[in-house]
Amino acid sequence: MLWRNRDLQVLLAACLGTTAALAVAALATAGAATATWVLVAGLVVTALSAAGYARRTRRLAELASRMEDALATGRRVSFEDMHEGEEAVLSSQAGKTLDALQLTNERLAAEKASLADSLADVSHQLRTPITSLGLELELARRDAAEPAARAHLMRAEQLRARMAWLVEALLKLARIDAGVVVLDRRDMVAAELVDRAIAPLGVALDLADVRLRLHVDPVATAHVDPAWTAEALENVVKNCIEHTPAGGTVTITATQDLLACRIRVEDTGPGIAPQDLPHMFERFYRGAADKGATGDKNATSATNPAGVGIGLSLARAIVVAEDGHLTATNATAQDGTVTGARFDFAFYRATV
Amino acid sequence: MAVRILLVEDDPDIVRSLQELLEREGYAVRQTDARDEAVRLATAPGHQAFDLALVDVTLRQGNGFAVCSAIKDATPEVPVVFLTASGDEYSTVAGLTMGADDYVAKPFRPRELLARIAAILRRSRPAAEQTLRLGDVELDPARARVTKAGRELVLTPIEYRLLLQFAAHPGRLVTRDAIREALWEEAGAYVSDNTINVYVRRLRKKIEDDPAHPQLVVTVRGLGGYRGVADPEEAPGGSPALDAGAADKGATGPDGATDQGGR
Repeated sequence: MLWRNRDLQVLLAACLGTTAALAVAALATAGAATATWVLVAGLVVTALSAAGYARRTRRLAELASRMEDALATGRRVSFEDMHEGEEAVLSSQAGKTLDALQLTNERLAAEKASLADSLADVSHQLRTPITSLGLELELARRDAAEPAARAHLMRAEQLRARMAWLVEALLKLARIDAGVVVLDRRDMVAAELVDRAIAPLGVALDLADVRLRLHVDPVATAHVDPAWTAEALENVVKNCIEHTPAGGTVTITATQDLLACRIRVEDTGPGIAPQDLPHMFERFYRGAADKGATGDKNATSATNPAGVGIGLSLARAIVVAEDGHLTATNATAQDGTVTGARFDFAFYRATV
Repeated sequence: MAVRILLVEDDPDIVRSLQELLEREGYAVRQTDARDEAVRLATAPGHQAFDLALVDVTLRQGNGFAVCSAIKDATPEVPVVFLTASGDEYSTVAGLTMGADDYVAKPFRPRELLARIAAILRRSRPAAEQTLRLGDVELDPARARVTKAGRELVLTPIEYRLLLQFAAHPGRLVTRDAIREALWEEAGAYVSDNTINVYVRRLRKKIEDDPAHPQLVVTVRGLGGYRGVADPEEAPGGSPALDAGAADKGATGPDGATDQGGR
């Protein structure tokens, strides 16, 4: 392998060439005996140079190999036994660099753990007053004699619910971002995921007068966390219901091919404005023309009171964490008119 | 005798309001914030001390799982409902694995908690008592199945919820306000009186022999609501005394909300 080294080849060629040239010159000017000594001297020098070169190359390779070990295993690796001139300097620098990297990694891991703890604390701190608030509002509502007062308290409860939803969604996003969510991925039948996602939406669908159509391949399975994935699906379905006018339909199709398990959710609403399409999954994005199904820019959604900005964001974060894809497009008819919005989930099957 | 609930919860704000809410619902509540005392209370020898235990798993001292284990060991038929922190999947799975009957994540909607408690208590009653009935229409909440004269009826989710409300407390007034509040909570939408009338009309079309002259779900004029009638022949028009006594500001009790086990 060493012989393939270009520099070594050049070195050998130069040495041997020079030796040959000098030997010939010696032969011409000083006779065969001198020429032979010149030749021998040249060959010896060439051999020693090559050997020295090979040795240095080997030590550099050794240094590179140790660095690779250190990076791969994360363990501190010593370079103290490499002490030959510039090699020593290089070794020492490599050692220091790796140490610094190691420290940074350790610090990051500690920060992540501490962040996870903080998030858990914050969750608890927020949930308790929100829960108490809900209980107090319920008690107040039972005590309120005036219908107007009861209506106010009902609205207060809705606002509280919206806050609770926002807090939970934001905390989930933060936990996913921090990488502290432990997904319990198992082989889940798509039908079960879909059922779980739509179970809480019966009354909402009924009130909005939106039909739900399911085309689920019973064989389709995905290797996902059931609770998180059902939540992602539910958020998308809620978004579709919200944007579908009365009398419309939301269709959920689940299929499977060689590459992935695919779940498509499609509505019969106005679709997504082209300028909004690339931003659909950004946090808090409401879209320039987001008017919901009723056309009112300030409409608070019936089914998703916290607003569309977080639900889709969270759905995508969950899907990405499960090595999947979630995309949004517009469904179009043959003639190109938009028939509604379309969301495609792809859960990739294990790599072969 | 009032249903007895053991509440194991240590947050003072939640304790105060939750205890009051449960007592207003007619439950007798015994509260403790300490794991050991909870276990002692729940497993006192002799008769069964409680009909249901509501246990917070996020107790500061000790954990709710131990309480659940102890209760299930001593009195396996007493249902245990966990209050968990939302998003804490580990606790949820662990709790259900060790025999908890249900869990409710904080923050919860109070009515949902009440509905779940009622559903679990109903489940622990013998099967025959669980079915609700208005005339020849029967509703099995455990299976969410409705039949009329033995034939299965298909109701939409809202129709089912309405029927559940009327059938859970036959003879009791269910105001439109109460219906509105129940639906508002679940779907986040304000439902007008008109819409409610429409839904009740649709329900009547499915369950009444003669929807034009309803006998199972009758309108109560002047009090803004409806009343479920269990035995139409016996009380054709309803008695005024029953109406007046049941006009309790619209709270329809623990069965007023969804029966589904939820997330």
